[in-house]
Amino acid sequence: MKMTARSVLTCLVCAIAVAGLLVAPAQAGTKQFKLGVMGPMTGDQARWGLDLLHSSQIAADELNAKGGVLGAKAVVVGEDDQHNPKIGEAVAQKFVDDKEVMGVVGPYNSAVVLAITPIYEKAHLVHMGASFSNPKITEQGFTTVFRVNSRDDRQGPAGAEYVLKTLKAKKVTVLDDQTTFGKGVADEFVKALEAAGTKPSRAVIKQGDKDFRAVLGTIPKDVEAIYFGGYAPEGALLVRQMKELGLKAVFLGPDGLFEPEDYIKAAGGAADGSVVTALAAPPESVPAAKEYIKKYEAKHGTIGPYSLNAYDGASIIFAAIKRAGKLDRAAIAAEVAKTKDYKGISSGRPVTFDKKGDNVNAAVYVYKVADGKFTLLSEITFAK
Amino acid sequence: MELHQILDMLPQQVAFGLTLGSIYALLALGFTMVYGILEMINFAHGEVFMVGSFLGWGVFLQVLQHKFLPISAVVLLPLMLVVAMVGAALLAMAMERLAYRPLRRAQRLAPLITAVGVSIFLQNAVLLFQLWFMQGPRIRVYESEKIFPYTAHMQIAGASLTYLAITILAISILLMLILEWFINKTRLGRAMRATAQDSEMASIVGVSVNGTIALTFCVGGALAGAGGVLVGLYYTQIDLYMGYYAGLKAFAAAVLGGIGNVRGAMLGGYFLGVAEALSITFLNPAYKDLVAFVILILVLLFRPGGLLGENVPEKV
Repeated sequence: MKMTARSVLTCLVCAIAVAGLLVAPAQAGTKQFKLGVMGPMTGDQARWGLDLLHSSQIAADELNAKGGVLGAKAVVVGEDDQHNPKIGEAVAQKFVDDKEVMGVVGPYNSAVVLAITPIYEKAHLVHMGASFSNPKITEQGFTTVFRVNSRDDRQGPAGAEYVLKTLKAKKVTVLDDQTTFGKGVADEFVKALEAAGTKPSRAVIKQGDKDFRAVLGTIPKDVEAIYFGGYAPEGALLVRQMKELGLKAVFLGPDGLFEPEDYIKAAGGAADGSVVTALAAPPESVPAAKEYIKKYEAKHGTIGPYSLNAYDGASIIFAAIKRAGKLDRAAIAAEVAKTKDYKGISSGRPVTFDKKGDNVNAAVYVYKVADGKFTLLSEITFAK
Repeated sequence: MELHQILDMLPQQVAFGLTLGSIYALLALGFTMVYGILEMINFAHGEVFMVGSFLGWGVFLQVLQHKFLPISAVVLLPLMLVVAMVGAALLAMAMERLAYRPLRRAQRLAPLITAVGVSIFLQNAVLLFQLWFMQGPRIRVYESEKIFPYTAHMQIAGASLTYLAITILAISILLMLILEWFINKTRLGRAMRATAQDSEMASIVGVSVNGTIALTFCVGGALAGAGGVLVGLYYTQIDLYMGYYAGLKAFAAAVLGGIGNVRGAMLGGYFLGVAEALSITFLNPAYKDLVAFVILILVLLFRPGGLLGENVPEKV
């Protein structure tokens, strides 16, 4: 059979028309809206992105079991940003263009959220952080970005205080992975250290590299503490290779290292004794979260560290939709901003957003790794 | 830092560079051998390496979990290497048979684009495999410390080398020596050299060109598989994107040494590894990739054929 261009075109048009007829009634039947979730879902940081996705999905399932909100069911759509700001921008544009998306949970990384907030701001689309912590994110005067967790200008100094007061270390080396998050939190740590009169030496690594032996080889053997601004995969490698090289310094890091699998397990026993400041409570310490953790672990295995924050983030968006009374992005964003004393499961304290979008009750948690587990040392709160 | 402090750490840093360099060299060989014969850059070579690394990891994990073999490097390492090398060699041959051979007479860009396609295909195949059977596409950990303890060191020429590093150096040098012997001293090696020089002429004198090309992919794939296991043990973390990053460095090493030249690939690998380690020592670690690629550009400016590219007319 010989097909001319025109007959091909005719066939195509017919096919599209038929497909349209088939799809249209299915959509009209149930009312729905979408909750976007973005984060790294493949590669070295996949656990975090999938964690945001699973947590939001459970929040949505619970909502739908109660009949949804405003008579509409929540549908969760996950998109992988590979912790790459460029891919993040494409994902953000996709969510903005999909008129059913009423809110977004994520992304995970500071670098990605800094790239995409302008895109969401233009569309009045609210996006809720469970983990992004660079101070600048909520300092730009935007009205659609919020976070359940605390900030790096709080956890950096918390790490410095541990080095100064508990370790009483004088010789300190600071490494960072040159990402927005890693360098930012390392800068905050150094600022606090220098304010107390201790001047650390600094070096950098490249995120994604696996062999840091040559960088560690340039660190003098008598350094007492090494602080690393960066994420778990590289942190695990650093602490492992430190042990191999015989560096005895105490290893410290920010919440990027707060990952039982990709930091502690990947470090193969070398992480014991290291200290991690984090922006999430130990899940088992929150009584209200008990039910949720059971549900999560039955489905997805060991709960991720930012799961509780993400669950609260999704639930806060749902609550705002209910208060707004309509599926309208700008109205929802305005309602999220009014969130006050929201009793969630992310910590023992309720969530209240300030004018910038930061949670005034968010705390910094200091953990020490012992016997292959994170053990809480202290919890630092900042609410007045 | 004072100069004498830097000089004190120099042997150690060179040792780190050589270990890294031998891994680059193993990978670079696969690029250079295929280029020597087909004048084609096999961009999917990094993925063969990645699959090899996952195969070795699978063997390691099974033995660690079920303990049907003693957990020792003497038993485990050869087993991991054999499984990864055979698997990677078969994959590389399948790739050649299914994706490249049908396009051998096509215009030059076609196989190149196909190679990029194969690379994406293999990455996604591993991604889906992990999604369906292995709880998601996240990093996987080689628990190297179980067979190479952290504290097992040896002092050599002022540098403290772990047994793991020594093993990596030894295995990669051994594999390269075997390759040298194979190419220069055996019948099949002669067929490879002949095909590289002039495939039409080689077929006239009775060399099976298809068979020789398949053999080249087989050998390159096996080396990549071995490299995958060694990298897994040395880096301890593998993920499905590892082939892309390692492929970039190995390709640079192959070009630096003179693409198509086997000894050039080895030299290029070691050169790049040591250059990285030294730029970390003397300059800012942030510049290590910059230094590596500036060296590459400088070499190519003055010796467009690479370090050994013009001197040796033979190529494989």
